[in-house]
Amino acid sequence: MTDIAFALTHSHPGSEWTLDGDDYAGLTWLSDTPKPTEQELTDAYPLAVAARDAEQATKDAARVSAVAKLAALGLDALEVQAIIGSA
Amino acid sequence: MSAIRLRGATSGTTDVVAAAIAGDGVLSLPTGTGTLATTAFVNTAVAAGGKVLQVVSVTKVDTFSTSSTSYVDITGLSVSITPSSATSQVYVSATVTGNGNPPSSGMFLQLVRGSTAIAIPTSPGSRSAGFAVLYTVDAALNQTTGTLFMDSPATTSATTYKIQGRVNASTGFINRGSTDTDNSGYIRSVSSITVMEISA
Repeated sequence: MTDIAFALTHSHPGSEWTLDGDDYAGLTWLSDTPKPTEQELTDAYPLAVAARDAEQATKDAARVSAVAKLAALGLDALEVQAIIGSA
Repeated sequence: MSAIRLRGATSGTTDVVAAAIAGDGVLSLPTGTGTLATTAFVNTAVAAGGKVLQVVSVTKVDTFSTSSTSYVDITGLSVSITPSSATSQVYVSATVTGNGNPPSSGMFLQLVRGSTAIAIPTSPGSRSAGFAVLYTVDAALNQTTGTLFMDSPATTSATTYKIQGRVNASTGFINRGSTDTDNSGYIRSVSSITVMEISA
């Protein structure tokens, strides 16, 4: 099922709208730009999920890299956890 | 004057005096054992008022989302009450769940009577005047907030109380997290608003 609000957040940043419930019928478009169709949002949703997952993967990779660099400096796992919250 | 005089256990007396009324009255004593309260021990100013005259409540069980940077009505968090007296107060209790879209924005909330924001601070300056901001860093989760406010609408006309929300950027969510995957690691919840007419 398409998360319309999530899709809109990523596909139409800066646009203003309200969504009552989960369905496209509850979408009220407040911006002067054209209201996206339900199909456009259905198509946008997997792209938004992929973008979110890619962003999370980048953050995860950065964390792994940071931990590795700290370990290279001689910090053990407990010391790394103490400064970044988790290793 | 007609009275019944009771002698004290050790000294003194207590008179039970009938009121000066026309016709016959009946005063029935309660059953059981205890002590009768008298005006000497009751705050009559409080006892005379402060009674709940009516209660109206609504619970929102579905979701609402918005990217509006101006306050908009949160559908389903609106309730109408018609005070029976212009001197009555209205006690508003609202519980709202949701999230912003971390780390971009929180969901700002305000309480409105009709079209007028109430329960707002003095001198907010350019800050957003309201009663709370929904924001938790875990996008899968949400937060519960609310407000309790005693209002004096000074009317006997139907009066609407509602919750409005806005964001600074991105999106705000009611009754869900900002990510909403359909599994047990995510949350769906409910919000409500209740108003009570309190006698003066």
